[in-house]
Amino acid sequence: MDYHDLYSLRAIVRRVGKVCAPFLLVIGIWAMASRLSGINPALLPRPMEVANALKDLLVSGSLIWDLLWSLRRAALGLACGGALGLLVGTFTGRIGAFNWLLAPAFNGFRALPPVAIVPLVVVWAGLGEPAKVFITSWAAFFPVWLNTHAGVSSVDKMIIWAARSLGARRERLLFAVTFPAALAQILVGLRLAISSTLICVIVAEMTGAYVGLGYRLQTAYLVFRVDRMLACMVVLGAVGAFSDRLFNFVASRAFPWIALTHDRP
Amino acid sequence: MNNAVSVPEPLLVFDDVTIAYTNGSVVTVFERFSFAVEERLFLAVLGPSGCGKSSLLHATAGFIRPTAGMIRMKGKSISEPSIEIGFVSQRYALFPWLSVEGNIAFGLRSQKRPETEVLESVDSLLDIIGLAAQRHYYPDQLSGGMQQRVALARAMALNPPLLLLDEPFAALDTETRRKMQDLLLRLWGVRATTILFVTHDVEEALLLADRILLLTAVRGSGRTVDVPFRRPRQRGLEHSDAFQEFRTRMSLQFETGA
Repeated sequence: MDYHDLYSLRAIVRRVGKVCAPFLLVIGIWAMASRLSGINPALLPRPMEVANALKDLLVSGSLIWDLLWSLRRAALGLACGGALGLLVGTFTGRIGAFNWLLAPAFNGFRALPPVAIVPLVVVWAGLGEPAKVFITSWAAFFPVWLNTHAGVSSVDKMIIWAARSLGARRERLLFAVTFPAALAQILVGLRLAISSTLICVIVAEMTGAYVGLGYRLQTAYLVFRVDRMLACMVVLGAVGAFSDRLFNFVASRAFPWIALTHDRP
Repeated sequence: MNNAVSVPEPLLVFDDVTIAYTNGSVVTVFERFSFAVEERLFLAVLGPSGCGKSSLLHATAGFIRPTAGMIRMKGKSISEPSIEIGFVSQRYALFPWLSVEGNIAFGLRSQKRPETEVLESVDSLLDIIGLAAQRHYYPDQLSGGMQQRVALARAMALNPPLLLLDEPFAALDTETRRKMQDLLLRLWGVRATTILFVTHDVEEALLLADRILLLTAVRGSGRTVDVPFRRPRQRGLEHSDAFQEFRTRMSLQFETGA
């Protein structure tokens, strides 16, 4: 091992340390609090007990199954709501009549917290899969619509003029100029939509489901298993953080120019 | 027997052009402006800030419509942007999502030209602007001067008969500006194009143009001055007595609006 290997090893250790240190700090405070505070361990289990609950759920296979179902519902909602948000945002951002007709209503709905529609959807559509996909689609639609609308409507007119003087018309102007120029903002909408769908899928599953992370959390609550509830929350946090990092990674690889012109998406 | 000889119309004709904006109140930038530009001419447009130089160029490019009157190119009214009219602005307006090569090829690809022709044109322009090694770079990886070279090449790729330049070198340092002026003259020499070059730099106008349109702060009024220096104009011309004398005279006219 030469000097350079040692240097890169130190760099890796430092980097891993920087990532792990905040988590270790939280776990340390948690362990101290559960040991020294005198709070009933059933209410505040120690980190090791939560780790054991997590292991049990993983070994039984139920947690993987729950995770896959939750991800499936979130992905379906993101695909449906995101696609619709992109389409409608393009129309309202580019065509004045659409904006005039639709934007006030959408802005009104947007002001509602997405979870507020859950009881109404359950009453109207029941507890089946379509209701859950509707809720997650609703959650995904508004951030994507708003950011697409804002991105598409605020493309620098000099860029549009330049493209038109180079012969770009209709589809080419839309797909080769307007969308790429608005892409950074559209990606912000998608990123917000991911976290919003993850929140709403859990709420929808807690309201009524037979599988899913929200369902697992709810059943743990009903039998007062705080360790299992915390284990589910650890998984949820990990999924949220991982999906955000993954999205950033894919976006920066697919659209490297964005990092040059904007802050990271 | 009719002996009348038909004289071809100049490339570009401004016919009683009025440009006004509504911004709460109506602001008239140009009023009944008439002017003609012959083919292959390098015309510099000089004038104080706010005299409407950029508005004139935007209307010529088809970006805005004159409130009254008509701008004609080759006898046809200009009503929208066209590939016949290239445009380069001070802000470059490059597409940040495309590489240098993609930016230069954009117009050719919009015209669905064969890919071999596109690449040939791009290669040739990259050689002229000296950015062959940076062909895969994104605009934001380039300096201001390099970006402006790409903007010039992109506008020239479709070989437009008319090229409009709106203070294209205003944001560049002196040395880069000189290089860009040389490049523009080289491109102008290679391609048979007519140039309208907006600037507020008298020396730049004298070094580059055949004729100068000197606009005044009075809406739509101006006069033309032919530049008396023969081409090719060597570097160092700007230090000659004749140049300095002419420059001083032009500067006085520019400042007083006489």
